Amino acid sequence: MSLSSEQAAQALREVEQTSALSSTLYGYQQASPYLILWGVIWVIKFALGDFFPQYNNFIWIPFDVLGVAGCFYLGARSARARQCSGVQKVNDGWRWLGSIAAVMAFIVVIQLIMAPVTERQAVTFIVLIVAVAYVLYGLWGSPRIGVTGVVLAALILFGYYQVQVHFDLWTGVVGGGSLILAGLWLKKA
Amino acid sequence: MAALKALPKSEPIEFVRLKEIVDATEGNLGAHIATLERSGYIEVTKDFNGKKPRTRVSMTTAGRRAFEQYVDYLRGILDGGA
Repeated sequence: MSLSSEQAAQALREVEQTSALSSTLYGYQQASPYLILWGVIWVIKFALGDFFPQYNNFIWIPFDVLGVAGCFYLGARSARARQCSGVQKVNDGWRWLGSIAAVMAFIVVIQLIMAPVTERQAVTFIVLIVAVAYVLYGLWGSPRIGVTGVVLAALILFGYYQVQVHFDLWTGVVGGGSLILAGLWLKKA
Repeated sequence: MAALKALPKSEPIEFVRLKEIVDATEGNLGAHIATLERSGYIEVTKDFNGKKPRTRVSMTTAGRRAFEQYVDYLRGILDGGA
């Protein structure tokens, strides 16, 4: 039995729609543990920063290192990584490290250019960078991650203008909490 | 098959998730899966996730090839070649 061109076009449309949906949901499933990991790190890091402000300049270092190491661990466990060759894995590893270093250097340089900046401004700026990254990711095909970015940006801006005391705690609980909730939301997608 | 083809090679998908993606009933999807498994296009794995039974489905290399041929066939019709 041969198909007409209308039937073939309809079948191709269904194939593309199903592939796109499956791919998006798979992406959510893959992104979920990363969001939960960074959410937990943010809660602990910012809560400690709020309770021990004298160590605020250094507290983020071990937690960010832990977060990056966690991301590499999760990345290495993924199905895509299992299919990559050893050389490709090493290249990907360097690309990710380079990307993280570039973003961190960008954040530091911008803060030097804008100096003097308060700790409150610095934290808001960093969280907004993360939020923008999520929004862009959302615009390119993962709407739920985009929504997470918008919520994160709204919450941090609300905190910046309205929360006068315990701003770090606000950032940790609300920002980190929203990342954890978003991670669970993606997992159930 | 389109839902499975979108995943990395040999990556399984849970039956429950697949049911939601293709918007099929359990019985209908189960029948399709049994047919595709008999043809060697997919593999079905049953195990436990904690205490919950879990059925996962993955596409075989033969399944991937057959599906690609099917999509090429459809495109061929649109291009006027089939």
